[in-house]
Amino acid sequence: MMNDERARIGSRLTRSLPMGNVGLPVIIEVKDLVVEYDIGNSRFTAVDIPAWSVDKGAQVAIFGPSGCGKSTLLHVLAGLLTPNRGKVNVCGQDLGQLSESNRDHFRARHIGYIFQDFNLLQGYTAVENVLLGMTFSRQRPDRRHAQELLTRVGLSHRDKHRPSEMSIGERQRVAIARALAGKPELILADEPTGSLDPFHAREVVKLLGAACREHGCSLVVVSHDQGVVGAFDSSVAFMELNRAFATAPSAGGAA
Amino acid sequence: MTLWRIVLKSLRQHSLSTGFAVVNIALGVSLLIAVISLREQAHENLTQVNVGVDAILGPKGSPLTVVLNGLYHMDEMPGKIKWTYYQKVLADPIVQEGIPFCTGHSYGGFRVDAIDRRFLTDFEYGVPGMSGVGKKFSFRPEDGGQGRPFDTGEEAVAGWAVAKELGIHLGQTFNPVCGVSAGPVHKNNIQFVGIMAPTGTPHDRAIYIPLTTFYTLDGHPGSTARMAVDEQYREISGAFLKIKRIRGNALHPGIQDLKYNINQSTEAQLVVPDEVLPKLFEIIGWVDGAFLAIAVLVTVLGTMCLLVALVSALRERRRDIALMRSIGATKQTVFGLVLCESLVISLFGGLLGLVMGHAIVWVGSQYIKAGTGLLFSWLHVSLADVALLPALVVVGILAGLFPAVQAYRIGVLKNLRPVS
Amino acid sequence: MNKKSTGLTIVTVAFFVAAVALSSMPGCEPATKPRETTQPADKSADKPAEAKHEAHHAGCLNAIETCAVGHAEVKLEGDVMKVWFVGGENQTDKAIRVSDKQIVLAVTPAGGQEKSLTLDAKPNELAEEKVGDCSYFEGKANWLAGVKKFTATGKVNHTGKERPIKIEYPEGYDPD
Repeated sequence: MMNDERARIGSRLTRSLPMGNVGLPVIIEVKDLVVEYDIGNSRFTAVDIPAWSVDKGAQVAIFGPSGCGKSTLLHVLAGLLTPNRGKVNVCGQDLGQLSESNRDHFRARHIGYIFQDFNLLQGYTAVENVLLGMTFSRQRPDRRHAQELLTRVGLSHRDKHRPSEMSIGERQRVAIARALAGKPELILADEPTGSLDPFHAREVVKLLGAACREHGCSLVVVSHDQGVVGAFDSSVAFMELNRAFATAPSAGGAA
Repeated sequence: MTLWRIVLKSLRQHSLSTGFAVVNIALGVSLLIAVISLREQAHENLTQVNVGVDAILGPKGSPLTVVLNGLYHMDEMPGKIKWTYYQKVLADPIVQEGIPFCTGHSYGGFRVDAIDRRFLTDFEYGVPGMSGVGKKFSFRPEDGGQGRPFDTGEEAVAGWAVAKELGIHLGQTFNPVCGVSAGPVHKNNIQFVGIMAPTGTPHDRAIYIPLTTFYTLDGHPGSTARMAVDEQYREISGAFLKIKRIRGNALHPGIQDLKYNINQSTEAQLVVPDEVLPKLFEIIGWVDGAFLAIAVLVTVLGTMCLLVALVSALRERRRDIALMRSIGATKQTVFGLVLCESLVISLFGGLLGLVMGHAIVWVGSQYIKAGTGLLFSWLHVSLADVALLPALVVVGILAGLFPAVQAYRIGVLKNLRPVS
Repeated sequence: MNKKSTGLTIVTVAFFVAAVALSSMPGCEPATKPRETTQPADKSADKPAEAKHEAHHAGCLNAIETCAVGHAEVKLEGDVMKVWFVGGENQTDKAIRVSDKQIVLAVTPAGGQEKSLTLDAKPNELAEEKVGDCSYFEGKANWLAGVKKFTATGKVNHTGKERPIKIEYPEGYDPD
C-alpha cells in the first residue's frame, strides 16, 4: 500500500514539474515519445509517453511487469534505439539530432548502463572490465581509479578474477563499477537485480544508490520487483507513464 | 586498457585460430623469402661481370659445363685439350693472353685448380677502368690478403672465401683429393703460402697450385708426370683467354671467327661465358617461376586462412562486440579493432616467416655449398625482405576488411540478450 | 576451430610440403641439353629453324642447290670476297669441307659487267684443314672494292658431288 502511495506521489512529482523547470536542472526530458515495433503484419506500440522528466541528481525507479516496454524506454534514453516519434533530451542533448556514431560517443561520455545479465566480457578480469568502461569514454584508462571503484563495490580482492570465477552478485557489482568508471552523468540500470536473490538484490540496490550519490550521478532503474522500487526516493509505474499500455495486449497486469 | 590491449586480448582469446593463421602466413612468407633470396644469390653468383675471362678454351662437350667448371668451380670438365692445340690458339692474332689450367682435385669441399702462375700475378680479373688497367689479385694485408703467390711446386694459394670457410692459415699444409668429393688423397703436404684478398668473384672460391704440380702429384702415373716436362705430350683442362680489345674496350670482333674456327675442330671448343650463362637462366627460368608461383599461392592461401579465422572468430564475438558498442565503442572503433587484429596476425606471421625463410636459406645453402661450392648467405637481404613490411600491411588489410565491415554492421540490441 | 579454417590450413600446409619436396628433388636440370657448339646470344637462335638461318660471320647465306644441302656464306670486305661453306638447314655453324683447291666465280656487280674471280682455299689450321679439304675460301680483286651488290655463279665439289653455286649479295639466295 505504502509503495502504491509512494508510486502515485512519485509520478505526480515528476509529472507535475513543467518542462525546462528553472529550479532544478533536468537530466531527462521526454515529449511525445513513441516507439513501435512491427510484429508480423501488425504494429505494436511499446512506448507512448506524452511527457516525462527527471531532475539532475534524482534516483528514479520505473516499475512494471516484464514485457511492458521498460527496457525499450531505457534503450531510447541510452541512444541504443531511435524512437519513431517524439523528442528525447538526455544530459542536455537532443538525441534525435545525433547520428548513430555520435550517439555512441554520447553514451560513452555521459551514460553508464547496467544490464540485467551484467554483460561482462568473459575473457577480461574484473579490473579489465572496469577499464573498458573508461577506454570507450575516451578517458585515459586509470588502473588506480578502476581499483578504487572495485574497492568501493567490495571487490578489491577479486580484481584479477574473471566473471566465470565470480558469483552472480559479484558480477553485478563489477557491472556497477564499470558503469561508474566513465564518470557518467546518468546511470541507467535495466533490472539490475533480476538475477539476484532478495538478500543480494537489496545489497546491490543500496550499493547502487550510494555509489550514484557519491559520484553525483542521476539514476534511473527499471524493475518488476516491488522490493527494489521501494528502496528509491521516487518511482513511477511504467503504465502510468505509458498511455499506450492501456491499449496494448495484456502482459501481466500492473504492479 | 588501450585499444591495442583489447586487440591482443582478443587474439589470445582465440589463440588456436590465431595461431593457425599466423603459421599459415608464416609458411607462405618463408617460401617467398627463401625462393627470392636463393634466386637473387644464384643470379649474382653466376652472372658476375668482373671475372676477367673473355673466353674459355675447353674440351668438346657441354659449353655450360666448361664455364661452370672452369670459372665457377662446379661440375667436371668433359675432357682435356692438347697443350699443342692451346699453343696454336694462343698464336692467333686476336688472342692477347692465355692462362692454362687443370681441374679435377678438391680439398675440404672446395676445388683445387692447377694454374699458370701468371694468373696470380698478371691476370686482370676486373674490368679495366679509366686508366685502362683492370684489377689484379692482391696478397697485401691492407687489401685483406696474406702471404704471396706460389713459387715452387709444393706451394698453394687459397681464395679468400675458401680460407675463411676452412680456417686456412699460412704455413698450413694439405693433401689434395683426386676428384670432387671422395677419392685417393695425394700425399704431397702442399703448403699454403698465400691467401688472396677478396675479389667478390668466383676466383675466391678455389685453391690454386702450380700447373706443373698437377702432373707430379703423388700417385699420378708416370704418363701424367711426363706431361710436366714434355709439352708435346701435355694435356690441360682448359685455358682462360684474354681477347684483344678495340676502341671503347669492346672485344675484338674477330672473336666470333675464332670461335667458329676452333669449334670446327675435333680438339676443342671456344666458349664465351657471357653468351652461355644467360641461356642457363633461360633454361631454368621456368623452375624459378614455378617455385615463385607456389610461394605466392601458399601466401594467398595463408591470407585466406586468416580471413576465415577472423570471420569465424567474429561469429563467436558478436555479443562481445555488441556489448562494447553498448558501453560506448563506436562502429568505427570496432571496425578498427578487427582490422588491427588482422594486421597484428599478418605482422606476426610475416616476422615468423622472415625468420623461417632465412633458416630455409641457411639449410639450403649448406646443401648448395656441398654440392656446388657456391656460397650463399642466409643473411642476404633480398627484394622480398625489403618489400615484406608493406606487403604484410596490405595482406593484413585485405584479409581484415571483410570481417571488419561485418563487425561495423553488428546491431547492438539484436546481439545482446533480450531483457524485457 | 571450424571446418573452413581446418580445411584451408591443411591445404596450405600440403602446398608447403609439396613445394619443399619439389625443391629437394634431385637435379633441377636444364629442360634441354645445351648444343655442343655455342651460338651467339642473340634472339635469332630462338626462332624456328625454318624461319631463319644464322650467318655466323655476318655475311649473307646462299643455298647450295637447296637449303637442306648446304650454304655458302659470303662477305665482302673491301676488295676481298670471303666465302665459307657451311651446313644445310639451321646448321650454319658447321663448316663443310670441299675438295676444291680453287673455285672460279663469274661475278656480275650490279650495273656492271661479268667478271671472273678466283677463290683460293684458306685452310682453318685450328680445325686441321688443308687445301683440298677446306671450308673457307678467299678471292681478291681491285674491282671488288666499292661493290655493294652483285650476283655470282660457279661450281663446287660439295658433299661428294659437283654442285652449282648461285650467290645473290647482299640479300642471299634462298630457293626454298
